[in-house]
Amino acid sequence: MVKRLDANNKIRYGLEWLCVAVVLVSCGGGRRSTPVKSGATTVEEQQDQPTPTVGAQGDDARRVPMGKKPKPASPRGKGDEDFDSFRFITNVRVQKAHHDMMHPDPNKDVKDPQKNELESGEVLYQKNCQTCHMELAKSDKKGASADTIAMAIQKIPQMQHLRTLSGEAVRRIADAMDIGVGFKGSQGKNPFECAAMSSAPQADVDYLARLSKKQYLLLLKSEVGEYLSAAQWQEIVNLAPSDSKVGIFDHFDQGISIDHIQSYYTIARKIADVTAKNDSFRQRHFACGNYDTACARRFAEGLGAQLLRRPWSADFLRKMSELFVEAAQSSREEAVRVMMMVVLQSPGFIYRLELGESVSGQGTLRLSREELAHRLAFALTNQPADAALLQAARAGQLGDSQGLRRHALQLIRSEKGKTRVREFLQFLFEYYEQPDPNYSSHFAMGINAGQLYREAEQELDAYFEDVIWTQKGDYQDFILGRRVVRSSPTLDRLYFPEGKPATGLLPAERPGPMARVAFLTTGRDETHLVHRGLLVRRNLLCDQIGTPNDIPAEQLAPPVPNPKSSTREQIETRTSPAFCQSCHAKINPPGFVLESFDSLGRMRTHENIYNKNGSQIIAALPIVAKTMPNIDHPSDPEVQSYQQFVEAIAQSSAGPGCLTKQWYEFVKARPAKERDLCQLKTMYDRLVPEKPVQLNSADLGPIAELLLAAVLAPEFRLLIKR
Amino acid sequence: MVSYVNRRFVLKGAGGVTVFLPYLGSWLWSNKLRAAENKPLPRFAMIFSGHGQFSEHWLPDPNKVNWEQDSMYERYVSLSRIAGDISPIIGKDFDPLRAKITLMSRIDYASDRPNHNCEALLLGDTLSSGQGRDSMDHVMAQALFGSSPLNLAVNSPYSSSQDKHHISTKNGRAVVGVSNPAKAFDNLFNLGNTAAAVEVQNNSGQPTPAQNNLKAIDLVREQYLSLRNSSKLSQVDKLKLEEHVAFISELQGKLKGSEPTKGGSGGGQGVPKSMCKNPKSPGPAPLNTGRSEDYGIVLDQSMEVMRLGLVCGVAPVATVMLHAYDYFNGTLGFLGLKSVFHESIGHGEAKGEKLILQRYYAKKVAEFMRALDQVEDTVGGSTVLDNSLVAWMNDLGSSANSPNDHARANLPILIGGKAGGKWKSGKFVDYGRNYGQGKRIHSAGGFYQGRPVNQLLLTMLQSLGVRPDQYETQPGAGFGVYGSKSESMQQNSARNHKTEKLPIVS
Repeated sequence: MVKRLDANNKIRYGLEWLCVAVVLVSCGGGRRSTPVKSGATTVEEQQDQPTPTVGAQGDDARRVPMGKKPKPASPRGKGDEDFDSFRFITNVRVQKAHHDMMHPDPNKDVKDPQKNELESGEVLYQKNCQTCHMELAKSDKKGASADTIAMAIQKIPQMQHLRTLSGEAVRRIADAMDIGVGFKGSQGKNPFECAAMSSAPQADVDYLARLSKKQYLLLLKSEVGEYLSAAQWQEIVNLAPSDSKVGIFDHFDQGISIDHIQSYYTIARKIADVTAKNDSFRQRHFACGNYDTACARRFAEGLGAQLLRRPWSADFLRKMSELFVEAAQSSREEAVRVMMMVVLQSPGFIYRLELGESVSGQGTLRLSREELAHRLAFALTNQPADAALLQAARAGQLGDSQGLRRHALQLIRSEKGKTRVREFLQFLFEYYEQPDPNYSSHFAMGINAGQLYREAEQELDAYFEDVIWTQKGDYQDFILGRRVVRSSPTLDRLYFPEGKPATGLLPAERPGPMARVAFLTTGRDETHLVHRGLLVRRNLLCDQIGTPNDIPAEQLAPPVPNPKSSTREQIETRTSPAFCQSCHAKINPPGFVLESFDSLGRMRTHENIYNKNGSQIIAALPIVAKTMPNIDHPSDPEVQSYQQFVEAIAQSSAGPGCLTKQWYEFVKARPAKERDLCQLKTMYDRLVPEKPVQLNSADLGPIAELLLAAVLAPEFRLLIKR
Repeated sequence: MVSYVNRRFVLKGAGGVTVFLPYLGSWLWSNKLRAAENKPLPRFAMIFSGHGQFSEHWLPDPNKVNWEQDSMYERYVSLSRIAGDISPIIGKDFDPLRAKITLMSRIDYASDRPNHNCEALLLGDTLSSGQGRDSMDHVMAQALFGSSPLNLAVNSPYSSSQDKHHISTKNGRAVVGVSNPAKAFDNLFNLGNTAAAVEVQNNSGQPTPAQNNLKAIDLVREQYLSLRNSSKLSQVDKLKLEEHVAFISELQGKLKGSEPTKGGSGGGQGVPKSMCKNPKSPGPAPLNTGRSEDYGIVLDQSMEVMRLGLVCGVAPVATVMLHAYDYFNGTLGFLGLKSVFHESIGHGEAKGEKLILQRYYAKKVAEFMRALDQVEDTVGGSTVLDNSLVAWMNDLGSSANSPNDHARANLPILIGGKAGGKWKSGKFVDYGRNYGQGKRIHSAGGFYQGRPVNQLLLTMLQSLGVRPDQYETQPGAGFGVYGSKSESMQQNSARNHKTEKLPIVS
């Protein structure tokens, strides 16, 4: 019998049902409570079971806490709840974890309520670490990263009381223990101090590096470039996400944004479209009677493994095969297209993965043979290992020093390797981007600046290659060389205004790469004294020089040509206040000596000042190069000329030390750290041997040895301790 | 009559209400959202043009305007009452917009070193100072739309160093702006609408290519999730992967949203559908040609993409960074200028050339705002500009020492739009030198005179509907002034720096 409800009953039952519904909602029916697929399957055979990440406890951790308000509905209105909830949660987790690790909570660790500031890393170290790890200067944990410290706090019982430290505090402690690599005025001696406590080889901490834009494009070009037309390739280049240039080099950036993901997707799609429709591509990589799982496996073992730079895991292969076979029911092209789309966006393609392999009984990991080959190839060629190197690696040829050296030498002397070294030197001397030519006609005197730029760049490239490989030069040859290997009539006119000598050498007064046209051109009649000085200081002597701030813009303006005051005199006057001298005591000296060359690279003894229309020289102000070079130390002896200045660099430790550090950072794609000092010390010794070395025909010169030393250190193929 | 409301019933009801209370906010919010379906889409754009300006070019001549005193602003003048051009830079192009723009003076950075740290404008601080928060545009886009903003950058072919191409930050790192407007357009309107997606259709019940694209992305994401779970990776690596996965999820959302209709994911309230059904692509951009004149072309294309993104609601939060030069190298040939920018125009005596450059930017900004003002918002009856905020700013302020300074005081700020009526526009406001009782000391010595730029950030966020609990979700701080060194003196004036807004909103 159905009982009809009266009005009161309707209200009563309605309220009760509402309460029940509310209770149900509170028990897990909330909008954000949908757990995300765990993704427990692995993509790589080497991977193990899932572990919780920062702030996470398995799937539960992916739930938004009760009471958390939902994200407002997207205007799209079609968003998948699973996507949205994962994105929402992940963003929160990423933000929190980033913050915990990297950034301050101003209300945490506040020691001084008046200042409301977190204490310095040094003070935090003293209070929290010194008891067990000695004072900071002698710390047995120098070089430890924030990540390492955070993990230690989590895992080591004696350190658990430090869990109250914020992520920012941990980061500051790590920074205090990692002072970076500087020079200490060692005046000819090895500037890198390798303390006994840090002499034990240490591995890098992070193993997942996003490919730089250049690496990404090089890889695409080498693997699928032949199937793309020039226009299609240019489209890919224009679509590739940009890197941020930090400091001198352009491949340190590890940032990731929606632009990266959209670009990877779009590029993968475009390449997949092209390759899928290309008969020769399909015949080469999908030569199968049926587009079935066996066909997918064949691709996985061929180009697939090449693109991901490792064998596919069984799980990934299975899932990819399912998708491949399903798509093949539409068409073969579609199957190939889907396959390529997935592979070109996979972590194995986008990132350099070094997951390592276990060493039995040691509880540690080491690079696999293939990983070592790729690490070596990326370091020296900016590209992954080719088939020959991988084969050698699998045969164990990289396992010993001699084998590693032999293959490293092959790589660096290959065209790819030479290109890599050339790029390094172009960054170092900043002649990869020449300024727009904006010279006045009376100054240029008929020289075609655009053509000059190209010839000058090639000339300097050739000079370096000659010094390193043909002359087997050392640092002094490198910084003082006078050979002109690849000249042109215009360059001859600039280098040899009095006629080219039989030796073909530059005049004794203009030795080295800093006196080359490619280094000296500014694009305008004026010389950029400060910029030249800054470039020498930052790039070639590795000084840390900041950016001026809160300075009236007019004080940063260039000197105006003045018949009564040379460029040097104007800069000296302007930078004389103590506030300026903290930086300009270093910047000005190289700028002063480089005034011996005008902005097209012509040697000069006078700075000519022209009248307004350039028809007449109204003053010729003498170039005074005399200065205190301040290279290794402020008390370095005075120099009288550019030549003496460069000779002082050649005799210094800062010059070769800086070259060592810059190459090391270039190869490692990160700033040098305290933990790298022992490697740097060894590399420096290769570049500047304590005793003169007699070279025979099979030997390499010291510069070439330096280039190799960055990958021959034990650390390079070290067991990875995680 | 028997009462059915007995004690048991009351207790059950009370229990239910207690359990329900934590959900009250979200329930109300959901209802609010539903109620807001007839509200216009909030939009925010930021145009950053570097290079600085002389303050006498940027601001109206303070001696030639009839100031009105105000307890909130110190003083202000209605822009409609300024005779002739508002200022040498803000000229006739802005005349039709006078009622819809706001010009501000005496807004300062709290940061120690904002110059060459362009992110400070939207972050309220610098990356190098260790402030790893997301910039305001990212917070706003995430809070309001659950997505990333559109970040564009227009550079000279030489620009590559960090301070030339970003004003936004995410997770403590610079977000490099997209410098290819054609790519940005495709990402906004054609992401799920490729040739493959529309060309191949079959009636066999097999998945279409567009559906296969989604399956491919699913598998890609699964790989990243799986890798993230490896114990062989460090925490830093895992965070990197989590970021990657979050962006893939965002991409998936876009692909799903855009799959059914050609013309992208544009939709929602306030979007003029006729304009957004088949928006016209700006076409290939002349990138990296080395030709100075191409800079202007790429700039126009980028502004057009940003306009379309805003109007059509596919990028309701967007920024563009405009840089015409690289350090020491660039020239401004596209404007017919001969001087080398940085030394002669940026810092040198070429005052007139700097004005020409800024007038060029002003023209572009005015065109952009006028274009937004010509589009009627389909909800609310006003224009897109009325319902938006468009900020035009740069990081080079001025000081008493120099009107053309690398200074952090008196930033150049012009805001277009009314934020749906919340923003009281049409004024030139001087916030004066009395805020903080003249004690806003900064670490380099001296005093700030005006209000911290953080107040502007808070005000813009709240005007467009971002609540404090949304922009303060990141650990550490939100966008107010949180007792940093430079602002610690402010504690004495008993102000609530976490929440204090600029007195410009209703």
